[in-house]
Amino acid sequence: MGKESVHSAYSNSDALKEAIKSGAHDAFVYIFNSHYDNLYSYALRILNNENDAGECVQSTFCHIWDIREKLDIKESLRSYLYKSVYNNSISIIRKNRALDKYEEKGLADLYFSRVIQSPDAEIRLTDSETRKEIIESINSLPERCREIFIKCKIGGLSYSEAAISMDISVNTVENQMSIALKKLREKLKYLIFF
Amino acid sequence: MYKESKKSIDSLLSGILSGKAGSSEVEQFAEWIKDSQNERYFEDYKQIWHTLNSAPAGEQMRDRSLESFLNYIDSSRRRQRFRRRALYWASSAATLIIMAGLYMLLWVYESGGDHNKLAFSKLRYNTDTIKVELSDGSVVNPLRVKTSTSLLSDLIPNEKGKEQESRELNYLNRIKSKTDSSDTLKYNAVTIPPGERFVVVLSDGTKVYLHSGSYLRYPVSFGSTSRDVTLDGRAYFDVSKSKVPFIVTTEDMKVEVLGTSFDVEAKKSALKSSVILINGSVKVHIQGISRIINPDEMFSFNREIRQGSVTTVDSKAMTQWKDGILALREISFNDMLECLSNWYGVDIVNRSSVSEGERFYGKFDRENIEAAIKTVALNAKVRYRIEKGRLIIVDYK
Repeated sequence: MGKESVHSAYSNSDALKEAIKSGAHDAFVYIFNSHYDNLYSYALRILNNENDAGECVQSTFCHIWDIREKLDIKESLRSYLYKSVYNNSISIIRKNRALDKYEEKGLADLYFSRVIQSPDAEIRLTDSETRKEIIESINSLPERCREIFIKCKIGGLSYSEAAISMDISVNTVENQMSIALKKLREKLKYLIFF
Repeated sequence: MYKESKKSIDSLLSGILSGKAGSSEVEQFAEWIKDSQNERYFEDYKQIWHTLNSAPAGEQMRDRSLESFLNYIDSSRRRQRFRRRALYWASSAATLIIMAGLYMLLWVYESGGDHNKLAFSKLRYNTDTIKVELSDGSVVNPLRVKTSTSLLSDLIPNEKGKEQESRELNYLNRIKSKTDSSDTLKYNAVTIPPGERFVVVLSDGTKVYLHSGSYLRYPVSFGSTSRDVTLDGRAYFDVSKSKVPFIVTTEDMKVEVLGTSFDVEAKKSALKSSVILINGSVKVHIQGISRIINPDEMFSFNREIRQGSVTTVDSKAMTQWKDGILALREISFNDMLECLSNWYGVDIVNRSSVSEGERFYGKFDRENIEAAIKTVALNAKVRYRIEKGRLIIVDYK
């Protein structure tokens, strides 16, 4: 929202697209600054490697610079950027041979239809109420409870691994987990997750 | 029991989304998700995972990235100008052939998508400049010398204010000043750092193309009885015909000609020195023995076993470097990287396990390090990354 003032230099999205086409320096700086963080975060969750993610987003912008004259963006600029990062990520994944474990079993479809976060899904999630609610609910948990929840649920650690990593007993981990799950279940009823 | 099973599912899903899952876990996941209830669970899990894993890039990272991006914009403008000029000299394609066992692989690199260029802008190029040491001991950069400044008494550069951008130093039109006496020759020496090349036209009209990482010492004006120069490194000589013999002295040999074109590679630190003849004939003096070399022959001297040998080569192809194309043949991976490092003026660190037995053949355009490295990576099946300005070559996995 704070970026609105910068945006005012381009009265509307068509003007911004035109400015990009013509290679206006400030237009590129503007789209870079307003989208970099989200695009990086998105690429990082596909690539799971910070270097690759940084390089992916940067090279996406460079590519857009290279082809600026030929650009004809029908959709929103934002959705174009997410799609570009997505495509670029896939070529990096292929280069890294990270898909081999799917492809050798004929499961590449599974990866593309279920596992990878599509640009549309990412934009939907970013704008969604669900996302806000998840963050609020998690933040409402006591600190240690939250840490244990994230380690086990998101990081995939077992209770005993979490216990060792935090230097606490497995019992504590179990207790904290059930507190976390109980509270989250109340707040996020519509997720069958818990 | 319930908790344990949930836990192992979460751990499986976490592994799937974070890319850490191995192929047996991928199979397990494929089986598990066939159940529609599980599929819904996964969709929910995925939302939470993506929400809670959204790590912001951090201001420092964004700023650094923006800076590189802006550099890229600037350098792409420069590159466009540069590329047009480069095309004039050589096709912008790098080719590399590897022979590995029985099969042979040929790959012609085409510079198509440019969007990975960026990483290459982070390479740290050699910053040493070409240096000319004058007879009074002072050292100048010939590329910076404005022709109007007659700061150089030795040097009367290309007449009429022609720009030195041509990377050439011309002594041809040098008029001997009265103070010159015929028996005390004044010497200049030029040092070419990695990544650079340079041409010197000597006072007799002989044109010397100097390879990256070379040193040549020569008289500002040749005397009437001999034409002597000293070389460390590699140079291609186009010698003007004259009755006065032209002699190139290196660490361990003397190459004597009357008028011809030839290539001398004699780096003090290298294991091998060689002479390649394009036309005419040359005489190589080494270890008290003289040897005549014919066109399309290469004389190589192995310093370790102190033995020389003559082989037939395609001399034109082997000396294309003078026109900006480095041709390598039957060279090991490490030697190739060393050549490329010198040619492009960048540090290359080899951390791969490419066998020393493999032999590489390739041609590399001076202007396009990116195409070169990509071609090498593809053919040698290695990956590369840029770390602190250096190019690091690593194994694929």
